[in-house]
Amino acid sequence: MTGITDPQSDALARSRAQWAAPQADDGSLLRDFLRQFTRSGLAVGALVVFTSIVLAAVFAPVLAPQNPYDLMQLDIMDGRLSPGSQGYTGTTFWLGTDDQGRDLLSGILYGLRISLLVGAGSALIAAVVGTAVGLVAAYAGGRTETLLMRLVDLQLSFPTILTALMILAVLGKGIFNVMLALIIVEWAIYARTARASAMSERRREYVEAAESLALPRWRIVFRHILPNCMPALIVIATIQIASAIAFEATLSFLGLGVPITEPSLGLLISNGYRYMLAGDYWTSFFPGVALLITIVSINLVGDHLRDVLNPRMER
Amino acid sequence: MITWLIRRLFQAALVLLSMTVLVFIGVNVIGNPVDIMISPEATQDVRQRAIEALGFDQPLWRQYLTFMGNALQGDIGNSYVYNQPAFDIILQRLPATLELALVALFLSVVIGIPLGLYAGLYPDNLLSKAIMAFSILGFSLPTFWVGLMMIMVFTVMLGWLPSIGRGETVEVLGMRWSFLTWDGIQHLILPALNLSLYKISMVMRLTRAGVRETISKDFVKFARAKGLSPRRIILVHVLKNIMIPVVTVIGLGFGGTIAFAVVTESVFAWPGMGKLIIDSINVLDRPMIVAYLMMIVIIFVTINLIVDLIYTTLDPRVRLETQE
Amino acid sequence: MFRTKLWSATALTVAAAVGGVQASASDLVFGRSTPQSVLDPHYTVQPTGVAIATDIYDRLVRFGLDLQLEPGLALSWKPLDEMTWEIKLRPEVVFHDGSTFDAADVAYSLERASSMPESPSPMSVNVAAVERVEVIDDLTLKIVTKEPTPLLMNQIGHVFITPSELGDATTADFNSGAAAIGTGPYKFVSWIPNENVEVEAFRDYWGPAPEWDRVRMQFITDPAARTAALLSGQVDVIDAVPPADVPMLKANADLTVFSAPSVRLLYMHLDLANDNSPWITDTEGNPLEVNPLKDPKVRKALSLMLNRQAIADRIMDGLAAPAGQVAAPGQGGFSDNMPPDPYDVDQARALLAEAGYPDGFGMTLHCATDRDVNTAESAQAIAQMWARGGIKINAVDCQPYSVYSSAATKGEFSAFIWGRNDSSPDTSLNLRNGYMTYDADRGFGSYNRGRYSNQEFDALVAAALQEFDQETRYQLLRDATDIMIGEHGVIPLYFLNATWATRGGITFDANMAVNSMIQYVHPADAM
Repeated sequence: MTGITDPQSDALARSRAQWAAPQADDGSLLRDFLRQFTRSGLAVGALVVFTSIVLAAVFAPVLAPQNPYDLMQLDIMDGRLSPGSQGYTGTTFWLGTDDQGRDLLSGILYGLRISLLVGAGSALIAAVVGTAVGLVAAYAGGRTETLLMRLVDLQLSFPTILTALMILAVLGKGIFNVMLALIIVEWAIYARTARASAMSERRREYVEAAESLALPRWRIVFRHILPNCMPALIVIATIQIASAIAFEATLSFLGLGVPITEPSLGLLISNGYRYMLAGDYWTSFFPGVALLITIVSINLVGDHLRDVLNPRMER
Repeated sequence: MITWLIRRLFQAALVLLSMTVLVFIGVNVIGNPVDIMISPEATQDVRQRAIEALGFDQPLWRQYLTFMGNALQGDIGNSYVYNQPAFDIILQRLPATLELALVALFLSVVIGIPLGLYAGLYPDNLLSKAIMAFSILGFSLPTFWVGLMMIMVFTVMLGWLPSIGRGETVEVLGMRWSFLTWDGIQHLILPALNLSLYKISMVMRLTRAGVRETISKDFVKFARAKGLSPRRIILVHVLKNIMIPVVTVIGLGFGGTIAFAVVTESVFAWPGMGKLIIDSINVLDRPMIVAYLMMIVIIFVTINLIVDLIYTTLDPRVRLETQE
Repeated sequence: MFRTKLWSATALTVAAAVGGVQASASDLVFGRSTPQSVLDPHYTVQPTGVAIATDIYDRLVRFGLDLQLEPGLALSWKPLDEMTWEIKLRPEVVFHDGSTFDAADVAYSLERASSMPESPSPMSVNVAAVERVEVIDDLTLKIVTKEPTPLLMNQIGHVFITPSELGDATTADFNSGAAAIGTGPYKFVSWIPNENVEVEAFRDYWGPAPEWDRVRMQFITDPAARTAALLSGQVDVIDAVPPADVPMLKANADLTVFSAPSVRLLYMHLDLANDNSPWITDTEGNPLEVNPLKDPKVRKALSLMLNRQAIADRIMDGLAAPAGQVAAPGQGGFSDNMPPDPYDVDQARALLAEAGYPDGFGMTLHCATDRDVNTAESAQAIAQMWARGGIKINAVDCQPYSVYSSAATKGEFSAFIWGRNDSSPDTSLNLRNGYMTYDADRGFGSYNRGRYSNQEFDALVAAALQEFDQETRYQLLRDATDIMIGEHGVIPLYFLNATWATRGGITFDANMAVNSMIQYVHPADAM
């Protein structure tokens, strides 16, 4: 994010604050980064957990005792068995089964793939798109800004469900249409936050100085303004990943998301929710724990990344 | 300033207009309300008469022009479900949602900012870590799950708080409000807490991030060197500098809360607008959807206006001229 | 507009109930799943309009627990000839405002019900057969129909009777309570949209005295929240109990569960219209030239593959009954020859092979997510069973009803689950609208989305529709059902149970028509 510093603006900046990145070449920058990152045991632990989750998701077909998407392997007669019980074919369901007789362990492993792809994927794309729009708006000003910001207003006031229904009706179902719906819904949040931060940054002396030095605009925006907007954006992004996963679950629950025979983590939770009062806690508890661990590890890594990458943070 | 305001109002009108077009196209691609609502006993003849009476036999552009013609005379149309002017129904529901959203907003500020400050000032403290861990729970647990758990614990098991409806209300300015009676307040607590959990976490984390960043800046060091009291440094210098993203998110969140509180409203049987819009979308009650969205656009535009004004007071470097 | 003061009393009741103290026995709080959208009883036939109306207003007839007609505001009715009916009205009935009920009120109400065009679900379906209404004297009416209509009373019997003095009262007048005047056992007190309706006993009611002094209908759409409200004592009765919660509620000594098989049928529509059906493929996923669903053998095979009892037990927690036909037991036209198809995969495979599909074919199954309880779960279970029977399931696609119903009506699906409840005394209207050959002009088969078509069946139903003799009509309907079900025009799945739960010994008349009337709720000491 910080990149290689520009000598001229660097000089300007140093006169004002220590905003710039450490002056170093690429190799040592990476080393520096790694050293900074590994300083926190918690963050390293979280990274390990997160990596294993991703690996578990990727290798789900190898790891899972059952293919939860294959209807031939499911039987409603095995439905809602408690953890550790045996199905009538003799398989043991370590985390129990859901109402369709789906092994929850397998369901969770497979569901992670969809949740990570849809949740994290759409949150990241929305972050990139939204931030870009916000920065362009703040920096360009004038009509461009007006147009973009009113577009943001329009998007923010439009109910998600209506957006998702329209996409379903026009494009049909599919995992990428779900991602599209999530991106369309979420980009506006980033755009507004990025613009807000950028608006205050662009009036700072160092930007004005950089402008007076006739540095190219994109360079000012991406090298000088963007890094200063990052802390707020990273906080929102890490939270939005969680909410995108939850959101996908809601859409799927309503029949607007992934197919019900191929449940994501969120859909497993929503499906299990109805059996909560009845006491079949495991149907939503275990998928919930899996989701929680995923989100916590993403957040710990994200928090620490932000601290390490933040140009202004005291080291 | 005045020109700026006028310009913003003009833009808001354009947003409203494009929104109505979107709704018309959107509802049209999704389906036909008559198919959804009509009785299975209805004959083809009855069905056809209903379609004609509601204008669905007309091409879409003509339906839209008819709507615009009436709208310019102040008539958005009657809801298909309620058979009352759609705007009236929304105005009936507005206080319930407004009240819920305001209380949730209040909670998120009074809980979120102090905790975030604390966690930012003492990042290595055990309590701070606990706060941060709590905030992760706050936004990763699904709202419906938390809502149901709250009901099970506080209503079913402990019997402390009611979980259904608004309770006793008092009429002020022709609208019903719960927060003026003790019974109403009791009814408010659980849904407001449920709704604010996500926001508390968000505000907390943004505040912490902001504090961590600002605390190392020159002006803070300078203030310290000048011997200003830590309280003054935090309350005046630090807080003021971290408020921009916080205000943005609160502003956004407030609009979102009003608009999309549907989960909380369903779980607590709270008669607000979130549930109303989902029900209306489910049966494609177009006048209702249009009226509702017009209301939301107006609310959003107003909030954004206020937020932009707050920016200028928080940070003099942001000037309204950049709004051109 | 809102009557806030009235509420302080009930608010205290809630607080007291939450505190664990039982409310006064003559007050009732009913947690209901369907909110009220209008108080105008003539605006819509949707439950959102009718639900509370059944306790405030009366109708010409009452619908008994067995679905048969009983005298209501009409004491007796008889056809004078094929097109003319004479109706004798009940004397000495008064409205809530003290005025006396007479024939002019009936004429007024029937007229008002037919003139609500701007409703997507108009009450006018119930008076469509009426040509004109003549008032003979205060308590006698003559009704002339457009064509022979043996079931006239079953149709106009759904129209709520309001006083003719209301004149051109609008929906807004009803909603404000000013015009909400009926002859029913409960008087309107207040309505807070989407929150509650309150009514109180009408002491001058002509029928059995109302058992509750004051009743609040609290609208709780979320199923889990409804259960929780009952558990915490904030409400005394709930309807539409989620099946999964029933065992837990039954285990609670304070609570009682009342359940009965209802007339709500879930069935599978099959695309019988298209030669290449949109969601049918070969086993490799390529489009198929012919539509296998047009072969009755294939349809029968699909039905035999289903273990209906397993779905009822496992997915619906026992709160469903396997269905073999579209009529519920006890309804006129129910055929004894048509029990639910047995679960017989071997025979199904043999039939598939006979029809030329020894290796099966590919299919996508559609359903709605937000209509009936657990439909999406049943759809998956059906998909499992079909997969075991040799059908390649390409997908199970469940959608929100708003998208689903429009697409289904346009014939865009191949196999799709639909729900219908027909609570009329016999099946003639159900068969006409659901299964007769689609004919937009004559209004037949308007809900025949699978486009089943059989001349012989059509003729039998058409004859039944005009047959005044009840036994002959029932026989015609039974014969028609034997033909349609015999060749599996649709695949009946199961009838849902209607379930209520109460606390403190309150009892409820579980009924097949899925009616949550206050009149069905009885205080504990009444037993």
